[in-house]
Amino acid sequence: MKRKFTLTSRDMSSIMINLIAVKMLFTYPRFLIERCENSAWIPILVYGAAAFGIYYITQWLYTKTGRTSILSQAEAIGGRWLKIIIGFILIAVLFVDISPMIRACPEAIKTALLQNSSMTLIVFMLVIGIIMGTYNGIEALGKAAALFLPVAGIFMLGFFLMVMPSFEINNLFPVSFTNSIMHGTSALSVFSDIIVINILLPYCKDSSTVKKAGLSSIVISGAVGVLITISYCLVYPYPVSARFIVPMYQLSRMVNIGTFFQRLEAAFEFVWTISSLFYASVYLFILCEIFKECFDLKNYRPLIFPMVTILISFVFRRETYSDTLSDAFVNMSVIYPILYILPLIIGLAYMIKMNKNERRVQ
Amino acid sequence: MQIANPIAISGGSNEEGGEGGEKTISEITVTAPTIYSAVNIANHLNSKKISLSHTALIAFCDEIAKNGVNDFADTIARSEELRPNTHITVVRGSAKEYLSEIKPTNEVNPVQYYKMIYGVGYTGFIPKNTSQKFYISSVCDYRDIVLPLSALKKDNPENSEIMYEGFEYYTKNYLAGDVDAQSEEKTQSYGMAIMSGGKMIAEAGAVEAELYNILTGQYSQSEVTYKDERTPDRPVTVTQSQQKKPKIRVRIVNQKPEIYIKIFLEADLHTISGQYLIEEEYDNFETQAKEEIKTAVDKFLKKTVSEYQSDIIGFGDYAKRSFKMYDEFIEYGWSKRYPESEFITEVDFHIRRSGLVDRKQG
Repeated sequence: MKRKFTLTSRDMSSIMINLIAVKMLFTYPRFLIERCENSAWIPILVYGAAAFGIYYITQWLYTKTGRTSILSQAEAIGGRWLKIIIGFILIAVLFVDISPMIRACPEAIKTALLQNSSMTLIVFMLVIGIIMGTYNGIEALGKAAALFLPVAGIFMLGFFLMVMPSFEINNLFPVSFTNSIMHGTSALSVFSDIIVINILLPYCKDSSTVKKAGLSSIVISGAVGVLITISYCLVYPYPVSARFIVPMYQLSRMVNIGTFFQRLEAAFEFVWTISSLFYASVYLFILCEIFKECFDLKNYRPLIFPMVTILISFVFRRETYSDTLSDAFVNMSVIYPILYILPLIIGLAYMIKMNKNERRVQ
Repeated sequence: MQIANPIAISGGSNEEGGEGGEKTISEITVTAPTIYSAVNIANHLNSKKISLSHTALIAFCDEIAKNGVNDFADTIARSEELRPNTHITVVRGSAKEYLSEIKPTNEVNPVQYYKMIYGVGYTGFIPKNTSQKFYISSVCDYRDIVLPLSALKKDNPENSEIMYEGFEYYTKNYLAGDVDAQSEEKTQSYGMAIMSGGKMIAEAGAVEAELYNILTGQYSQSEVTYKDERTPDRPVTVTQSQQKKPKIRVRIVNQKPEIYIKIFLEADLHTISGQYLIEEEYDNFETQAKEEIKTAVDKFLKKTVSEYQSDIIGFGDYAKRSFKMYDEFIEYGWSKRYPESEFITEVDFHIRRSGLVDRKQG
């Protein structure tokens, strides 16, 4: 089906960078520091390269066979039932994968900005934002992300320059390459959002869009991840660095210019909240899109409200935020491999089937 | 709790502005087990909700400090209100009496008063550690901390030790409260409280605090008096500054720490004897000053290992470089090994300018 709107490589890259980098802004560096101490920046470099390798193989499989999405390929392999099964597996995995991130946004707003506002009101406002983003569609989200990302980039750069006086090189030590690589395999989990490209393949303009978006998103978000983690480790020695829930927020508290310009964390919260809204909107769109594709529906929009209701209920299923954080750690260790392996298996099976069909025709 | 009175600071509807002085501060004293339970009690006494967001100073009385203050460190880190750059002081005697006697004479805003007293870079007689470093030292058991010492001026100050060895020649190694100054201010901040394992273990004087600042690189500038062998009755006063942080290396030799420190200081001449041309003797004076600084530093470092047995300078941070893993470093037991340390000190001291007069040409 030819689509009226397509995503350019800039739009797609912006979406992907936002999806991956927003995790870096959240608790992800701390998760790695718990395993690799203050050498946590090393696994991001190493496993970022590994994620790029996996992505390169996956996109080769998919672009070679005509830029069809993972669900279309599943249907071609095993018929409609396989498509529905794969679709529901994807929905379930994504629910588990994204829920800690979506929970983090209102929790952080409640903790740092609006302590006296009711959580219901904050979540309600968040849901309105997510629904509006999803309703406008992936093209609008892509264009908006492309506009927002340079602003966020300039902000982050200025922020790192201001936090530099607090750097202390000794905080990076001891450095253990072997230990960090052995214990930091879960660094792969942060790049697992790359599956989004496989799902949104039909929206991409052409094959080069897919390649460029994957490459730039892994390289740029990997660089952002290394920068955030190394800055955090330079300011806080281990084991202090393993204690703060949101490293970037903690860093933003260190910034002050003289005695009159302090509390830059409010600006950081602003950037983070917008990024989180993009994150949640894009994933809500993807969840609706998967459901729509599974049952060959014409429009995803009627699915937004029921899907967001289920999603928010799932996100807030745990009573305390600490429990959600524990879930996030489990997800980062257990769930993410599925997001790498599933597209590879489906892509490979599809290719084998296509080759068999070609041989039969010949 | 001491709370700023915004009406007295700004002047309210008075066109002439705020009055300053004691009216800018109101006080609430409550008995409570923790900081926030005190806030809760105080909220019932005050028409406005008390927030700790603008807390400028936390004062512990020495009795509490001797019993341990690590619990407070956790509150400081956990609270989103308390800033990482909040000043902390240990008061000799009653903290309440100290705060009650604060009468800012040159500042309208009491918050600004505390920032000027505890945070400025042109005094060297108190350490510049803030709540952030206080928390880090409470978590990292290989690092101890010092806090500024404050007190009410005593009616009959105790005689402080006079420095005869060269560095801060003829200057008294004051402790807060013992400074025999005539001033409207009844409060004093001189010297430092040595903390180990979250407990105050000793007091150190103003000159030792200056040496501490120099060794940790927190020193900015101050007026320092040196003995000149040619005119021992007429000391030389220079404006001394630290443009470069000390170079520190720690090696573990036969399980014992060997610590190398090189200090970089420079100075401008301010007050010298008119009897001889020091301008022709710069090299001699520099060599003398180097020796005097080295003697003072060696004596102070010896005191940290023999008397305090506490790594207040933070050499442990440098020692971490000799280990591959943090656990190995902890296993080594830095805190227990520190008293076995051997020091190699080197001083780089240069006279840069001679004020507005240069008599070298006659």
